[in-house]
Amino acid sequence: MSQQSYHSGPSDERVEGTIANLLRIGVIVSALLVFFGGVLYLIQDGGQPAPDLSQFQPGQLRSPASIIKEVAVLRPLALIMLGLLVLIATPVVRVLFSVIAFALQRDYLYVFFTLLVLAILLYSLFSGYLTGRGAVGVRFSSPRLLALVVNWEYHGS
Amino acid sequence: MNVLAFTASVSVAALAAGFLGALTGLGGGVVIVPFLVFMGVDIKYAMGASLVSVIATSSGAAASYVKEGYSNIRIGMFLEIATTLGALTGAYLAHLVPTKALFVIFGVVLLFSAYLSLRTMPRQHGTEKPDPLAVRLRLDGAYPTPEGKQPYHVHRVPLGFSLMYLAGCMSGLLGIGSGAFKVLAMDQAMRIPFKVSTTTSNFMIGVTAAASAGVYLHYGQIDPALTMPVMLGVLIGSLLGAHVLMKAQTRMLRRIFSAVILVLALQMLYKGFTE
Repeated sequence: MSQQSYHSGPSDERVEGTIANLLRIGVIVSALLVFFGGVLYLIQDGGQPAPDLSQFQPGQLRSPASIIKEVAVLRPLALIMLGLLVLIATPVVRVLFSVIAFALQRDYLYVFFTLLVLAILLYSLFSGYLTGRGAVGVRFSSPRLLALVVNWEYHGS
Repeated sequence: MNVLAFTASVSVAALAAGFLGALTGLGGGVVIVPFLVFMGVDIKYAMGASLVSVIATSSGAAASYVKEGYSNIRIGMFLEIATTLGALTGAYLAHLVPTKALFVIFGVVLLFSAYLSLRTMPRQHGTEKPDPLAVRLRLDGAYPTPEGKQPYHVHRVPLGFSLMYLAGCMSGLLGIGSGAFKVLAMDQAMRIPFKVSTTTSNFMIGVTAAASAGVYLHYGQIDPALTMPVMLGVLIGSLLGAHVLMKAQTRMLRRIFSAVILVLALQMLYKGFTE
């Protein structure tokens, strides 16, 4: 980018370099966790019948809290999920870092934009757990969505 | 079939999908979902697994594009407001829309993406006047070419922003990266150079996908036993694909693969209308 004259603080090139490294590290850590969990899973359950995924039924490991609890006892599937959580968190950390970088550059317009994106991401990740019933019920009121909320509470309990 | 055989066959399919996705420029997601459906996996699980692998491939590839200065981070960050909002909408909708309708929408999107990736439209850049809104948002930039840094202007910001919201919806609704639609919005609507469009799209896909991944996780659509081989397979496949892409005759490849995609699309449509 060519607008460095606008800014003080770290150059765009330096910011880009750091973002690139962040993304790379996130993917590598996540892939290693998934791979390690996968190997453990195959050693423990490799001979079991394959999971039946032909009909959708919500899984067990659905919140960061439950995943971490299971990781503590080294359950292979929870280790895989932890790796996937790291992967999902990588772009979030990247956005968080961008907020800081734009703030250091005193580019307040972009601090605002990035904070907006960060808020949307955090809302997506955590809204369901904070209210205990998913944010859907708070935001919409059509009958179908109400049905969804009821369904959610039923499965979520 | 036992767990070992299941994991092995999904890995191979994911490897192929990642490879194909990288070569065609469609991305792994739009190819792996029909692959998994073909193998008898419920489309809701397939979407969850696909979405996660989309984050892996996009973040992996974006790292190098960002470093080389192709991706425009300001354009990316600004448009991510639209794509993440769209992704949230799409992910919630995905749980409400009947599975049959998902098949039909997926088939149509697949056909359209294949069409977009086949089409090539060279255009001249840098000759147009700057757009006042783009200037205020500091979206204009420059990208590396063999002749040095080439400056460019960004146009029709509101149209691009709206199209990005739709691209985000598609991503959340179908568990794909919707890269083809993001490129369409930047390249065609906003008149951003093709190389900047594709690399910035790649940079944005991870964030868009992360927004719907949170919702998918709540709904239990991310199954670890399935996602493990899918994510690793797609990641390795797309790395190989990107490597081959640099030396390959892409036009020929694209033609071959568009045939494959046509078959996948028809299969999805068939499932949507018959089951």
